[in-house]
Amino acid sequence: MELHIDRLSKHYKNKIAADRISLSLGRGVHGLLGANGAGKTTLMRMICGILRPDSGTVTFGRADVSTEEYRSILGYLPQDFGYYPGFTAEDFLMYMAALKGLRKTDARCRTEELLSLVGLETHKKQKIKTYSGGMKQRLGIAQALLNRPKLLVLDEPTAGLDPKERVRFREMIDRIGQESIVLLSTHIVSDIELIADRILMMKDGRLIFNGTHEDIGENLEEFYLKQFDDINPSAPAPAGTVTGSKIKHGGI
Amino acid sequence: MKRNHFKQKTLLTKTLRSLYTVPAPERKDTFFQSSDYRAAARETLYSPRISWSVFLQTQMHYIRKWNWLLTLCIFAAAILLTLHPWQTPAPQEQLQELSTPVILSACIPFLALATIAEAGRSARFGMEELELSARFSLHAVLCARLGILGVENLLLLAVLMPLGPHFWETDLSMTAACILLPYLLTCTLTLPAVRKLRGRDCTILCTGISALVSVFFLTAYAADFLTRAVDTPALIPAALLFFGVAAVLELRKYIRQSEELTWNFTLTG
Amino acid sequence: MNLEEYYDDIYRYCFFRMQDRSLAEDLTQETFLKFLETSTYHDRGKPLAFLYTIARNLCIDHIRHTKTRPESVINCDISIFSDAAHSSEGTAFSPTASVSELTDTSIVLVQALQTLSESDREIICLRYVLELNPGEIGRIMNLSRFVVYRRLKRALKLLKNQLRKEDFQ
Repeated sequence: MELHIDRLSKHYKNKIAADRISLSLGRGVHGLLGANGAGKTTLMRMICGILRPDSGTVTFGRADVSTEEYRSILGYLPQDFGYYPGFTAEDFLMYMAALKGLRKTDARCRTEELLSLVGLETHKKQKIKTYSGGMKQRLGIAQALLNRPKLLVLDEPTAGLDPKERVRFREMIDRIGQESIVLLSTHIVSDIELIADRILMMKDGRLIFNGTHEDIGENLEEFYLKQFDDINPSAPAPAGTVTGSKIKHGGI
Repeated sequence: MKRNHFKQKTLLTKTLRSLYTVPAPERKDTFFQSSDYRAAARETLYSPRISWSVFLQTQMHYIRKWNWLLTLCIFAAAILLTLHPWQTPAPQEQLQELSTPVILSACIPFLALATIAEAGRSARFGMEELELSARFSLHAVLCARLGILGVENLLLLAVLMPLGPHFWETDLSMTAACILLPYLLTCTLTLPAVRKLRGRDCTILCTGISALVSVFFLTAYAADFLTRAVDTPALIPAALLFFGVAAVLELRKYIRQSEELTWNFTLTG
Repeated sequence: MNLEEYYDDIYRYCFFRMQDRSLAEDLTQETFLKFLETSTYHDRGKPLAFLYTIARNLCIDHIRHTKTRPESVINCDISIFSDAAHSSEGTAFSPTASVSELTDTSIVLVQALQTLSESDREIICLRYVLELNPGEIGRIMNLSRFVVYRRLKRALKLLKNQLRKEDFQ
């Protein structure tokens, strides 16, 4: 089943955070690139049902984003999240599991599984306030996976991870992408290069590119920079560039 | 030779396919909408699910214990003071009895404060985004917390009310003014504050409001204002009605707001 | 997991086997309900193979209990089919296209299909009409993948021979 986003828009008083974004995502890892302020977090929040769009729809299969059915298949890691004081990693995951509607035995099982998956099993009884940034991030990833989501949305998931953790994270996301839809946003180009099947680029609230590595053809970083510097406006746009409301398809 | 073979096969399979046509199914949609299917699907397809009552139980577990303690203390204080009324020496050597209900009226604002603070913990600790995207969303969490504690609070107030006419020699109107009014007033004033502010400012403001309400009732009694208000016909019932309705409206606004993220900490990205 | 996308496939299978539209839908719906009854949340694989297996068993059970063999959808008055109607091979997985849609070549193919066993027709149907791979077919019919390959090859060869025979007549 696919995630369908149709003409999603969100305006704030002095800024257009999202401008008629339309796309469809199937299984695999999709990377969302863009500068700070490009609208990535706004888009992700709308996909998670946290922000109500001004217009447009988001559906997964038959379920609209506002339904409980949709949220039951969703896993989300926000850019920044807090925790109730005094919670240990275990407490935190059990709490989130309860919110996601998992039964207690299933919750306990999943908590154990995920803590070892993200490498926190030795720290599970320690309070979260003693955690480093990277550890907290890993805990966030664990909570997003609690309900075995079909749609996993990660906002800047690799921020704060050291290189070894990054590799581990990439492998995990790669595996998950084989079964589910993964959308991850970042402003670190190298992350996307290695794991994304499909690349999306946003600028000023608009989706300016939706395609694969092949469509880009050249080095991703250079391409990315070109988009934001507007160098060579006369060069032919590569396949996948979004012009108006149509996407150029390449290689068919 | 091989190409011919291949063409033959494709022709064969194409012809085969054309031989097997199917009339469109007629009852597909009704089936998937039917209650049989939905009931069975709910059991199996969505994650092994907990029901609302179990959810409420788990939320109850997460409400901090001192909320229950506070209720107990107020109740205990009420009983104690009823049995041993507190007498203070007044300046003119008159023994002024600080009536129990008035003391309680000073405490009850903090009961309301505690409940609202407890409900607002998600906002205080940055858990809103996570809770909003969960199946039992932030909205559900808030309703659970406010519901549980709210009911508990109202039960306490309901238990205290009959003590007035029976033990404190205060009529119904005065008892209501001392027990119910402070609660409703505090709610009406603090709920908008929680809606509009976050973090430390919010805590300080809310505590301030509760303290003010508390002091107001004490002074109102001391200045005889309270007694005069009670004597004015229909004033207390009107005040109760007004603040009751106001509190409910504010509550609705608060809960409705929790359906989406309204506080954008990171306006970038 | 949304099972709706599999409804059409299972329905088609049941229709080809039972040759009756309303019965096919009944069995399809029974299949889905049975699937939900017996699988747990942790069966994370593709449900399609399970669904087919359940459908197949339900169809076989139905025939056994009602003791009627499915009647061919195609009008039995037409002489070319009279052989088939009386054949002991039954009519499950017989072609279902209406007579008006048949061309000369396809009529020959229909006849040829009737010379195959029911089981071989099922394999052909599953492979070329419902587009399952031999591994999946094996799982559904409880055969090894190689047996499926072999029988497919043999069935195709038989069909081609029949076609060629007609060409020479």
